[in-house]
Amino acid sequence: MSEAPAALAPYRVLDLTGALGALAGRVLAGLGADVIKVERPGGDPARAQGPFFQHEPHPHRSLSWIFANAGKRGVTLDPAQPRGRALLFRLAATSDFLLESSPPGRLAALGLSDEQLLAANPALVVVHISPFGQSGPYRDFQATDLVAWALGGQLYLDGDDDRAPTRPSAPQTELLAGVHAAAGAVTAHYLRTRTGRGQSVDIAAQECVTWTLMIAAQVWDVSHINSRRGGAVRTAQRLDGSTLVHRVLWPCKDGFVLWSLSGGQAAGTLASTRALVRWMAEEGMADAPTEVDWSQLSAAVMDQATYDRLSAPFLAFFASKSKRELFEGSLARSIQLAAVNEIADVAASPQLAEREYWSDVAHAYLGATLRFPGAPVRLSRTPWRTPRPAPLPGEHNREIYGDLLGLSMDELRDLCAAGVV
Amino acid sequence: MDHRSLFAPPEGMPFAGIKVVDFAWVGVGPIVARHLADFGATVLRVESSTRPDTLRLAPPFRDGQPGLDRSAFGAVYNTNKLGLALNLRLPRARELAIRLVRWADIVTDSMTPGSLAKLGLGYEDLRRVKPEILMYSTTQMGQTGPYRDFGGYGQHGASTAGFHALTGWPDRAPAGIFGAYTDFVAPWFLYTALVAALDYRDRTGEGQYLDESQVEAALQILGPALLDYAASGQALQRSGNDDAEMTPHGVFPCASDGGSDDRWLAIAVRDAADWAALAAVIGRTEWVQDETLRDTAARRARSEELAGAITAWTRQRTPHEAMVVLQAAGVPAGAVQTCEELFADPQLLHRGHWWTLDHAVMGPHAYDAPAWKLSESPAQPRRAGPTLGQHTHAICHEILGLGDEAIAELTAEGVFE
Repeated sequence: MSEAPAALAPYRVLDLTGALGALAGRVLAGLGADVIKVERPGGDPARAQGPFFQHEPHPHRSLSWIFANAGKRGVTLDPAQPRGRALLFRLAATSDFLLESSPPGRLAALGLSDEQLLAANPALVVVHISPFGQSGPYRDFQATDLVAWALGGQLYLDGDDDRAPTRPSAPQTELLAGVHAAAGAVTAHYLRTRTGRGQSVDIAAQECVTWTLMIAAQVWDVSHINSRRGGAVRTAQRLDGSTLVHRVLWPCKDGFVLWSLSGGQAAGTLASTRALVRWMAEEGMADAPTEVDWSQLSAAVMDQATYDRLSAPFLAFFASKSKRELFEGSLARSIQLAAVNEIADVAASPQLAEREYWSDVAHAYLGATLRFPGAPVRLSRTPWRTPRPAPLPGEHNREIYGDLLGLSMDELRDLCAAGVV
Repeated sequence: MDHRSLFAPPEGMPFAGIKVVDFAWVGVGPIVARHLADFGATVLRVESSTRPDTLRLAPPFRDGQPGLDRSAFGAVYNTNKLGLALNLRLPRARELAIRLVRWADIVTDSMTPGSLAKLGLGYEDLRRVKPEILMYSTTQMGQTGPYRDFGGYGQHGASTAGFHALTGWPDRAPAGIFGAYTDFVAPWFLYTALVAALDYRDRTGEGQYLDESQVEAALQILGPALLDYAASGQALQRSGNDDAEMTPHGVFPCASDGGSDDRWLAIAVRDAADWAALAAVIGRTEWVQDETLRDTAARRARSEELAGAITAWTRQRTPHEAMVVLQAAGVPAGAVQTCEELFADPQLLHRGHWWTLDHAVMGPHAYDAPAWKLSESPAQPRRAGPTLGQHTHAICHEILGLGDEAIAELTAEGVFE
């Protein structure tokens, strides 16, 4: 059986990223590019990042590394040594993209500035990923997931309002910056297909976080209101100075569901609320609020006593059903309600199973098959590729330095002995 | 009136000359098309006042006064696009839409699955008209499967994908993540795949159809937790600001600033160097000598005591004052910035993150610039988001080749409502 074509099959990517931005190369590999991960001899320090396979820390067992570097081949190389640098230039000369996320200025200090890389290969697209960018007052600031989340503006908006702001417990800004970097890379690439000329692209994790604020920044710009965080139960500040304590996440039999108690003139909301009330009545709930004129009861104007009185039957109804029953019943009735899924619920999703979302990838070095999230986008002609397992350090040195660059076994042994690869 | 300048491909831009018919609405679909426009594509935003985009009905409104052309929410995902009003429920409007498809390279969709097909504008219809067309559809759940008809927004996607349950304190109900979070994860995957498909079309002459489930795309950035659960059966749980590998790691209260007591600093200690630097900055050098605090697990066991000492220090300083001192010592620290502060953030300003564009009704207001900065062909703020149908007349003239009489006739039939 011949393999389906891949959109980016003609292109090669040299991937020098650490934990920050490693997903960029993974995305380009999913679209068919030949991605070569370049690690320092001994392996990328990002291999120390958990979670670890079976929770046993080891550089070969880092699931964050394995996830973000799936689909790539791997070589080792020390760019701080002159011969390593020379090898890197040779690899860059055969590549279409170079991705890196070292501290800003580090590559240039090693003689690998944009100017030098583009002089060696004028068609190269060089993508830099860093916490704050390649220039500017915060260029040299240190960051982690939490710090990017804070300075990007998302952290202030998350968590219960009577405690400190909280980030999602799955660190993700390093991955988020990676997919922005992939988008930037293909943008520069597309121009290159027309002009033959490469350029550099600068991605900052902080700015990628700022893109997640939905409309909160514009609410400040237009209305001079600083949006504030709130948990399952929130306090809405209205323009007329009144407030409404309202619920966003509602307890149910086995967890929570997301739903808003409101009526009013917006057609979708009104129909949704009426459909839920009908469902409650169908199930024989004696106090289903069927007599209420929901068209007059938008949460934007409802007073607190009314809101609290109307909440009671919904709380009782939700408590009688599981989040999956509530979601599937809502789906059938066009009710705007979602399950607050835990990781285990996501893994058991009938929708993801029916769409054959998960990809099982055998990892010989773990003696195990790992289940990956599958295609983020389904392309009808050039499907997303199920990845090869992430490489071990230097796994493809021979194949890439030998077959691709034409180094002899003697030369390779010599470089290895000198600690260059 | 000469409208041609509206359609002149911007020289030197990556997508100069690429033509897009944007039938999508709300978040993800328009955001992807917006980025094509920001990098030079000619994008026609097709809307109808008979069924307006939900975001045009949502605040913030200029002067607090609602109106289809008064919402920043309705504008910000549509920079650099041209506005076309077209009531696709009318057969003559659909004929015009098909003519636009012949003109276009890319067609977008984010309606409930099957909605465009019912209007004769599904992918199978379009490829008969133009085999090399590229089309994407983006919805919460994707085009197939038992949940495909779910018509929710990004907050439902964030809840479904697990982000809500993972955000908050272990001793309380989940707090959930702010806003329609998956709407700001899913676009970048779709955009990247689309540009790859555009390059493939250029090389082979073949178009294709892209189906994105926003939940499936967003799950990518929970990848490590999903791999771990499948391998170990242990599911990641929300844990406030605790981190599996770093301690201290948290958000600490600061002195009031800008008239607010709700001021915080995020601090993350990655390793021994950060630990020593933090101890020195806050005047607790005895911590460094204390062997019982040398590793992360030991510090975690005494995290309340450490947090108390750190708080005693942060309480005396504003978030930005404390951040600068810690950063000077190499410790990852960040002010928990309000939206107001983002407009004064020197780094975001340095990167030109905020575009101010003059909207036809709202006047000048702020837009986020694309996060990827290209050295030679940067995104260009050419136009604010269009009012509904702002460029209908020009598009009829220049792209559809209609004369004034034909336009008047179609207008009378309600085609441009």
